[in-house]
Amino acid sequence: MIPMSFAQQRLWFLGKLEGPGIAFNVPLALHLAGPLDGFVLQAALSDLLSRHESLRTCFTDAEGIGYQVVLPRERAACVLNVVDQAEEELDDAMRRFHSQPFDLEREIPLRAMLYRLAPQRHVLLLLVHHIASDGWSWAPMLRDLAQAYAARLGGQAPAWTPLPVQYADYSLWQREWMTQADTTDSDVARLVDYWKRSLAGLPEQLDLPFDRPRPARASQHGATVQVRWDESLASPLRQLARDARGSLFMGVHALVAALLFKLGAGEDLPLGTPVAGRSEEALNDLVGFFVNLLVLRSDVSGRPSFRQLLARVRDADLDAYAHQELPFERMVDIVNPGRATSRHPLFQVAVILQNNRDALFEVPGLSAQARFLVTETAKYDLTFEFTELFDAAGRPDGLALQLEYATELFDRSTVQRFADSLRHLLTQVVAQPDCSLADIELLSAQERYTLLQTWNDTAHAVPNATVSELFGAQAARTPDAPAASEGASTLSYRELDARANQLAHYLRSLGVGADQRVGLCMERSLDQLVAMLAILKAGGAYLPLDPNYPEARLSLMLNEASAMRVVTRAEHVARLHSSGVATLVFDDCGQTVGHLPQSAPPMECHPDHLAYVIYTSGSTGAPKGIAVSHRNVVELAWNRRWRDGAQQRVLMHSPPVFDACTYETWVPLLSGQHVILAPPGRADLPVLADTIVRHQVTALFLTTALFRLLVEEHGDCLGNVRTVWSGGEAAVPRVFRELLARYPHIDAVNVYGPTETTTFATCHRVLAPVSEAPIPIGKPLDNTRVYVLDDALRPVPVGVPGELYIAGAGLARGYLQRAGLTAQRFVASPFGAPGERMYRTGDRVRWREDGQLIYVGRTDHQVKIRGHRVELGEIEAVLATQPGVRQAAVIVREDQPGQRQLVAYAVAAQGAALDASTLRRALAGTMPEYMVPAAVILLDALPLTINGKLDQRALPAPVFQPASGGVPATPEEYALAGLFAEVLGLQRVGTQDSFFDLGGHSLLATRLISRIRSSLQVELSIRTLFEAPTVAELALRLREASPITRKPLRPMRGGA
Amino acid sequence: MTNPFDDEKHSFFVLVNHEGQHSLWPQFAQIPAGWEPVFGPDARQPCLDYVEAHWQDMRPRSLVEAMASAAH
Repeated sequence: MIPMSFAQQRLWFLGKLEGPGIAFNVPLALHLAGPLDGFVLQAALSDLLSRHESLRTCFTDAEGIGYQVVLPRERAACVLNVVDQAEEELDDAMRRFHSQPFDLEREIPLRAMLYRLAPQRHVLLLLVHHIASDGWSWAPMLRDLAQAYAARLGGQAPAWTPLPVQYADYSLWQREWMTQADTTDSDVARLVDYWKRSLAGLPEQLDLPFDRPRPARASQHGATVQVRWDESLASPLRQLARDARGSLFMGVHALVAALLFKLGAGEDLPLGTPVAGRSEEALNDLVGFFVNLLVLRSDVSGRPSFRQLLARVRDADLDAYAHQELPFERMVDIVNPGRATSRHPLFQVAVILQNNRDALFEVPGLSAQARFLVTETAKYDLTFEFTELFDAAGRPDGLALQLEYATELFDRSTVQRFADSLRHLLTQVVAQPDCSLADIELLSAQERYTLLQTWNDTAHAVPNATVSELFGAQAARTPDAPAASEGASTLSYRELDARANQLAHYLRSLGVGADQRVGLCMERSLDQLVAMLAILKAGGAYLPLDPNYPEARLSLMLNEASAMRVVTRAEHVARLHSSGVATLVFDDCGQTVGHLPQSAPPMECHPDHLAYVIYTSGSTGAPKGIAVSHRNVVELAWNRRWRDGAQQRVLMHSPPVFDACTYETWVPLLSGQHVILAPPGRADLPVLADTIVRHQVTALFLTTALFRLLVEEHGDCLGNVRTVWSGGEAAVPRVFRELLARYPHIDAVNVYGPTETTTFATCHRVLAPVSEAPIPIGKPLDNTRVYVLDDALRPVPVGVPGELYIAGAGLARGYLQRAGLTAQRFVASPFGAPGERMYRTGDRVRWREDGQLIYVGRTDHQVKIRGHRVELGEIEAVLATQPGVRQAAVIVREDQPGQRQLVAYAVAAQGAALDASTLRRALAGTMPEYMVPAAVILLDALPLTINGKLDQRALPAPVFQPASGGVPATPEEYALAGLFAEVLGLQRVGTQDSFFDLGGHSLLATRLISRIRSSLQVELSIRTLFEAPTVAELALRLREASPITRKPLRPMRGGA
Repeated sequence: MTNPFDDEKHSFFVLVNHEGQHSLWPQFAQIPAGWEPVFGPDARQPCLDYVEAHWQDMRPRSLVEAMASAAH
């Protein structure tokens, strides 16, 4: 038996893994004008099969090794059917023909069909499987077919010079050559050594701006976008390549690398490219699969210019060419990357400069034109295939670029944009080849204008006044309207104004003035509202404090903020004592305050003075105080979004230390609406629901987590609400869908905003029907501008993730007493008016084509697991969609040093029973292996911090079985453990050990599967092993698997 | 990838605008209009130390001036 060549073995393995597919069907249509004899053509096809063994070879495997079975001439036939075909349906007919998968075990890898359009117009469709051919094969194939046809037409057999060797000889020669690897100093050892060095630390995946996440199983569905570049565009690139003593291929390679770099794919870019692989002259006239794949790795680190990148690319490419003889399959083995089956190993983006010999079919009396057909498949995520064009005189006439893309990952418009960007980039780099690529503008002027101006066209006039002035004016306009209610008590605007004025006079008498911080340590109540307003009226800034905070933290905040007083209740005084800041007990000063004037104290404060300071936890552990001005608050309250009449009665329920209170307080109070206070303390769902219904709340803000709980468990209370805003974490489409299905009239809004930009920065109204796609965080609010920037602080194109920067009227003054931190986060803006600042959020977002922002994740929540970039939010979203799961969280743990692993936490919906291993298996069935958490832990509830966010430190660590644990317990496990050990060459294997963790790889996997078939008489797919890689898991699958039905294959011919 | 403002490998300027507000700024990027370098280029920490030492009053200069003229 003749072993397969390495390249054939890889295709064979892919076919086994993915099942019958058409990704490797290569169709060519030969348009023939002139008299054509179908019988003669049939005879010529038989001659072609006689001459090329490769075209009459079937394939099979035994014990995990693939073999070629060359059929004898007399037993091989390629039947040529002839049909009459209407020309307008020709393409459809051909597509049907070439979309049929080959069964390589039972049929030869060549099919043909002759379409008769008219008596003297025919199309010969030749369909070859890649396992028997490559791009270079077409020239000998068509030439031989033409010669045979011409000879047979004259009644003779073709007079060919016999081929010196056949493909089988090549395969055997290759196998023999590769066994030299064992001897050092051999050619092969030198090649292996080179690729080991060259591929060390290769990124496992190139992250492109995908439109959709990668499915667990690639379908290889593809499409193409085609563009043409004039010679005026191509010629400067040729020149740059020549200047670098490089080839045009190196020029286009460097250009593609530069594009991927600009699209955020990183600085280490492995690209694949085919090489002919016909290193021996004897192979030139053969039809067969000789082409080899090389991994060309380019390094874009250190801010190179295009010229410098081109020089690097040239050196790297020349090195790779010098070592091109090592089969790609061996490179894969050398690197042994993670066994994700959903993407191409070693590279996912290919770049090709088509340089095949012209395939000509020359027969006297016939004019023939060959055309490759597009097959709607994609071998890789993205392929940049360039073809040099020539004019009639043979002069260079530009480049054709075909971009083949995986339709599961990309939309056509995205790939079209890549093509446009590549062209734009080309014009930029040829104009300034010595400019750092980081400083090259990828965006066209038009795109840049759209991103920076059109989508930020938010200017709107807002009064130049303080919060206290605007409240006073409102109170004068609507003195008798209800301002705030708590239970049965209500304060009118006149009452609230008068009480706050009196207290303000008192605070003033204590020395409170502009920019001075006054602590406010009270539970939510009308009194607290009075005090808050009074502090502003006195000119000071309130510093909300949670009475339940530890004493030390209260003290730290009061002192860091240099608070001159703290307004509180008698019961909290003792806890504030250690701070050393003087207290003002609200209840005790009633007598004194009652005698003070009810009119406002004289205004001493400016809109740029501080209105409040809110502390948030800092990444370094110490809290930081965000200093927000009156102007910031007024900007939020004056947003036109609140003018639709929905804000009549606004629920105030957020903890006072949370900046949502800014919305809950000042949006209604500066516009004559009514604040409805929830009872004090932490929100209790039934109480909250009761408040909403009893007071006919029309508008409220809920954190993502609370929104979900309220909708799922007390959805009834929202029946009369007009608008719900939700935000703080990634939106859950299901919750919006449930709400809108029930109450389609509700204005449901997904909102985003850091405290540093005053509560809300962008928002998006969610409309039914809610799609599964991520819900956008939307567009900027009035007087807010948003920029999505790369690491060079340049705007990124649509679809490319970048960091979100926010500029505009909401920008806080900074972090109190933290000049250094402020200068790091509130930075100079290159885009707005001179001297403007922008806040860098630490959030990753991307633009949608329609100008909506999509939240991608925290810059610091992006984690790396075994070299893969993982967005935890993605795993959480999938886990949350499992039946019975109410809430999910995924974190990276390092409970043992160096053992970073993903751990998932799930909370069951009411009445649902969850099983951790079922959930984990469900994840394994939908996402790449590296994204599957090491453990799923079931909890009664996710621990939350005071701000309603996940409290990571309170999540329990998983308890794992010992790594090599698990002694076989059943006959199946016993047998499998033995086979694992045998195939892997190990002494013993525990039932919990993963095949792939023990050094198993794809070829060993086929071997294991066939050992299972021969010794246990059970047929398992390789996919099953990927999904159930441990002895224990696979043993379970054995019971479900089908017993084998076909006989073990026997060698077809002796010797070899 | 590290945000350019957090990347210790870069050199930085300290910039100041008309409001006296300070900004860290990576040396590789063009200085935006309306900002002047007052320190650097230097490593990140010395720049931050400069800011801490020289940006004592974080009120915008226009506010300070408005207050001063109101007081007179």
